[in-house]
Amino acid sequence: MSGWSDLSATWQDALICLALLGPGAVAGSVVLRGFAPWALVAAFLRRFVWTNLLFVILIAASVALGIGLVAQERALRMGGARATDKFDLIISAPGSELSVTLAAVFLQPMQLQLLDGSTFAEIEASPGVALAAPLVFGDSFGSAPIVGTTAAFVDHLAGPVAEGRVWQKAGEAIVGATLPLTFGDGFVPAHGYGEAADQDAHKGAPEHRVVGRMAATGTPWDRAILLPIESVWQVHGLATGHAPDRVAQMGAPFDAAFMPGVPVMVVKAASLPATYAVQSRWQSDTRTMAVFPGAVLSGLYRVMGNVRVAMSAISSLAQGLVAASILAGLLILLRLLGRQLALLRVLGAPARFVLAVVWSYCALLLAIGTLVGLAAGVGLAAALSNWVSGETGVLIYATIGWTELHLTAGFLSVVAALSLLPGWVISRNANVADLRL
Amino acid sequence: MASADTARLALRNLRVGRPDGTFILDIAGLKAEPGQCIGVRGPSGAGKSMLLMAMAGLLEGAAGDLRWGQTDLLTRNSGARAAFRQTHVGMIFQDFLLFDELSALANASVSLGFVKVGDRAAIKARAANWLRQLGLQDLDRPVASFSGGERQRVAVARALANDPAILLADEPTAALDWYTADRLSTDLIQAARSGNKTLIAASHDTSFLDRMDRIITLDHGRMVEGAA
Ligand SMILES: Nc1ncnc2c1ncn2[C@@H]1O[C@H](COP(=O)(O)OP(=O)(O)OP(=O)(O)O)[C@@H](O)[C@H]1O
Ligand SMILES: [Mg+2]
Repeated sequence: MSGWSDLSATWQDALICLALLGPGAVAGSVVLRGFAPWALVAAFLRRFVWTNLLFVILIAASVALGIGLVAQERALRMGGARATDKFDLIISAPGSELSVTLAAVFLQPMQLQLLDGSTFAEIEASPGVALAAPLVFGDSFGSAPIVGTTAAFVDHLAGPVAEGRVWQKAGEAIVGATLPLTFGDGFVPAHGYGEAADQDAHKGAPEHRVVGRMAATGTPWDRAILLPIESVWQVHGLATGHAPDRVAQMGAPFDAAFMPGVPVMVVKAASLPATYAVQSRWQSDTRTMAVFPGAVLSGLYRVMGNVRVAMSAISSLAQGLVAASILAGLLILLRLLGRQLALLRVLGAPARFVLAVVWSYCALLLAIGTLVGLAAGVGLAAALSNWVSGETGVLIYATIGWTELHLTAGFLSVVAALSLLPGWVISRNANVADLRL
Repeated sequence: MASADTARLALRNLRVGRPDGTFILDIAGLKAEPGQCIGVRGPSGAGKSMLLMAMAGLLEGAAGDLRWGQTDLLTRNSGARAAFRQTHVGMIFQDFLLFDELSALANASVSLGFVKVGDRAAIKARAANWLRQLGLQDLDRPVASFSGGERQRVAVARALANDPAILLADEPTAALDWYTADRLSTDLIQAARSGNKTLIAASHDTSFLDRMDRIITLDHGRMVEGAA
């Protein structure tokens, strides 16, 4: 079969959307053919205005929750994927792949084993390695984690600095894009993170000065302070990675003999095949572990995928139940108008017209609720995204996607079909007996 | 246009039974000529409303011979009877049965929703015309705020909007004060006579009945007086 697969994804999605709307549209056009029920529908909307409003809110809320969850979950996955973009390969001492990923990509405090200087040097010298950047963690200033690394890594992560300059000597710092520190601000790193940080551990260490600001990355790194790795080691009273006659050296090459341990190395290889080669070389080495953070995250999402499906199913079910109970409510309301509807039959309206009036009223109410819910769901997802971005530093945008549009289109068809029910019941009961005087 | 012939009623052996074998209606014969106004009276429960319903083709269980012109209504299925009402019958009830939220004009032309597209303009024009002729000014105001007499006039305009040959009214003046009832009777009778329509009205209102061409009396479903 050619044709379908030749279409662009957008076209496919748009056509699926139309196909999902199809049954509802067909039901509507069959029911409404030749009729103009809208004056009566407007009368019903006005007659029961508060109840109608309540029903719209109920249906909107149930739709919004469903849409919000789906949009938010996808945004979270995309944000996570973007955050791992610059971390092709991470090499560390053997341990938990997830811990290493969380520490390096998301700057979460983790207990990690260290690689020694000679292993570091060996990895750096592996064929195909274009960049081998050490990362050290453990200090903080206020709520900002401090990461020790090299200027080459800063450039790899975010490109040229957005403001100021790169550090040239120990004691100079570069701040993340959103960190509220400005040039010239001085600070003394505290040992540890947050509440547990030991403010006085590095008392007497030289004050560090902000000299540059990194371009925005949309990752937790935007809220970090980056120091030359030599500075961090120095603050901790360790060797600085360089022989005593080269203390002014910043970044590579390091001198294995003078290198304290490194928990994480970010490796960039010259090509994709080279990346795989380096990974398999160091994954099979007993001293090390070589992790693709992207793969770690997708493994995580795969596990959560079932949860996602279950969640969508539950929220769809809830939506269906809300719609059904609202239709039951509408049926009761419309019984109050039984005599007027019977009158339509007396005036010569076919039973299908009564069906059309009731169907239009119910379907319109539910459709309005659904569309309001779609908009509210997008708003809800945006609010959630903002909150999650604020909490984690991972920039995520929840946008409306085809999945939500498909869900909405399918739901609209379902409500169009369900609305036939009260229409059918009322039109059968729009009995002249109701007119007895 | 109301066909003059459709307004001619010939009814024989109309029967509507109860489950126990007795009859709600058992009418041996009744005739009416176009332009004639017939009053139906009788004690409560006599079958006046049932007779009107039967004549409109609204009673499923009615048997017998009920002809409006060439149309033998009781042999038709319910869809055909509805179509017949749509073009030839106007009905008026004691309690008006209006949609409160709709304007006078929208109520009087409520059949716009289901008639053929080609007929809509004429119905709307006729509804507006009748509303004005019946003395209503504010055609766009929702009828919720109308007085009883005004509401009944909207209902009359609705019955006349399709220019029916047959007008069936079930106690049209019962909810109205004497003065308003008198005006409405005049209007209704005038509309029937000038349009050559057959008006059949069930009523307890003697002054209304007195102005009819003919009065028939029902008791226990039978015609006890006034057979033609
Ligand atoms: N479905 C039914 N089954 C049995 N009897 C019925 C049914 N519908 C109506 N009736 C009876 O038929 C009789 C005629 O009723 P109808 O409403 O025609 O009276 P009416 O003359 O209009 O009285 P009123 O002046 O009070 O309006 C009544 O005795 C009523 O109880
Ligand atoms: Mg009656």
